[in-house]
Amino acid sequence: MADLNTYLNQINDCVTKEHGKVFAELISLSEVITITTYQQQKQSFSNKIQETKYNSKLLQLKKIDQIVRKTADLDSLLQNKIHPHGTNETQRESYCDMIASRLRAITSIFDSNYDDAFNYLSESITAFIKVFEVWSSQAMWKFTYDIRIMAKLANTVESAEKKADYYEEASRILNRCFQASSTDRTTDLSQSKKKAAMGIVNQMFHIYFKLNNLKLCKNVIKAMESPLYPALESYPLGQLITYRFFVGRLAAFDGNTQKAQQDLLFSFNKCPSTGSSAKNKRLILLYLIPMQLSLCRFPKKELLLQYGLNQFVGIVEAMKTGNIKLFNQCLSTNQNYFIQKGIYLILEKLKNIVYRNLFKKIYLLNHNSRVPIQNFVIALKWAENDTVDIDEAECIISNLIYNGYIKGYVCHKVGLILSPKDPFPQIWKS
Amino acid sequence: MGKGDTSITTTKPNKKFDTLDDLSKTQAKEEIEIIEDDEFEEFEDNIENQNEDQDTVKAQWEDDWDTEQIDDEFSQQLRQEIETNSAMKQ
Repeated sequence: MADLNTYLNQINDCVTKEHGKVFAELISLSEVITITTYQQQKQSFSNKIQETKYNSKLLQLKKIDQIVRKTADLDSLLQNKIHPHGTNETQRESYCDMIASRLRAITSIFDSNYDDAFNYLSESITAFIKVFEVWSSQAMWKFTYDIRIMAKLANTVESAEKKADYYEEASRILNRCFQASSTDRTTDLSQSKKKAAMGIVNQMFHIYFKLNNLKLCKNVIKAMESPLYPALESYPLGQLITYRFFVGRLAAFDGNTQKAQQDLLFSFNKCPSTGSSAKNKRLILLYLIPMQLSLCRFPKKELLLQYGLNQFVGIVEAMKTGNIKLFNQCLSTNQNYFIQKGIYLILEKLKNIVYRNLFKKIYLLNHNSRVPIQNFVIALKWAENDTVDIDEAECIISNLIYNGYIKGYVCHKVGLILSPKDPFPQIWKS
Repeated sequence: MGKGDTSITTTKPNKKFDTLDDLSKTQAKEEIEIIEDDEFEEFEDNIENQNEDQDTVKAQWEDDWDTEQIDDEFSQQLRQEIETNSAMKQ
């Protein structure tokens, strides 16, 4: 009994004192959900410190759960024990419901009944929303984080009766949380519940990406970046790194290279490189590299090898040398990988830069600003495709001129006549 | 996207590639199958805001680059190819 009593006293204490951080730790289910998910997927912790921390929390939860199982009437027990100061009767009731559902969710997880666990956690959140205040913003983040990873866990288990996607259900709960934070009319944004918005929105991004419903992201971004919300920089840095990672990826999908590059570079530079964050850094880099390449900012080989992104080594080399043969080869060798990561089409567009560099070489070798089209045809036949003819070569050149990669014009009789001044302008700004 | 739930990484340990040829050969041989955990892990603890170290940034990216060299291997092959073939046409 002692463990449960201690736990309930801690809840009373931190609600009374409005200790947001401690409260968030007390209602957290992340540890037990993460450990269970890892067991399901036969995955192990990459971070020893985290593993120790999570396991000790799990032990604590097991002790509490044993008492909960022996308790005949959990609700009455909580009614007796939960009395935070400064709350009215309705609020007290909500805290009781919140804790009761949370304890039941724990029991369900230990029983491998993830459908029940998901529903209990959802009820716990519903109760929490009624008492959510600015001081408990961190608990709001924790709840939304937990419902997302709970949905993931519930989705991994094949179940005959439940056909619903837990991510869909979780996204509805997240919407309610977002509402609860955004309906705060306080004009002083530093004292508004909107401070919890980014933590919630990040969970939405995770789920919308999983559901492949990216247009839903745009609405929340629009809200977040409106003047009615706190400035992005005022949120905790950890949240901002996650936020800009997703926003950057969206911009990349929309073809907004400049914005994507800025967001992803911010996330990459600010993301710590120690412990489990190294994995995040690698993931950011995976999407940042194609943006940087589009702007002709080449990752150094050491950087690629450091993060195990060997797939890009050949691409970078091919771009720099204008080696279209190598470029096509690298793209097709790693085609599945790039498609799976959703960056294949972006990489394919880099071909223009490879052509530009190849054609610049042909110009340099020619020692003259009038380059016969035949030279391009020969090069393309040799390096890319034996069927290339004059028309096709001229077409590629015209495209490069149109896109500003080359200054000059095509004259059928003479060839490519290049501008005497800066015929291959730098397409990137340093 | 979307398939990143399982986390089985079957990459071979990173090899050092001395030349580009080595790299492309190795890549062509191994059909590297990578099913990675795609998930971005959220940060539990507060992260201290550090200003980027300009040296580190410089060590990671080359951004003042342009092709001016025509003495590398590929350029030499390219030169030869153009010279042989345009000689033949004339």
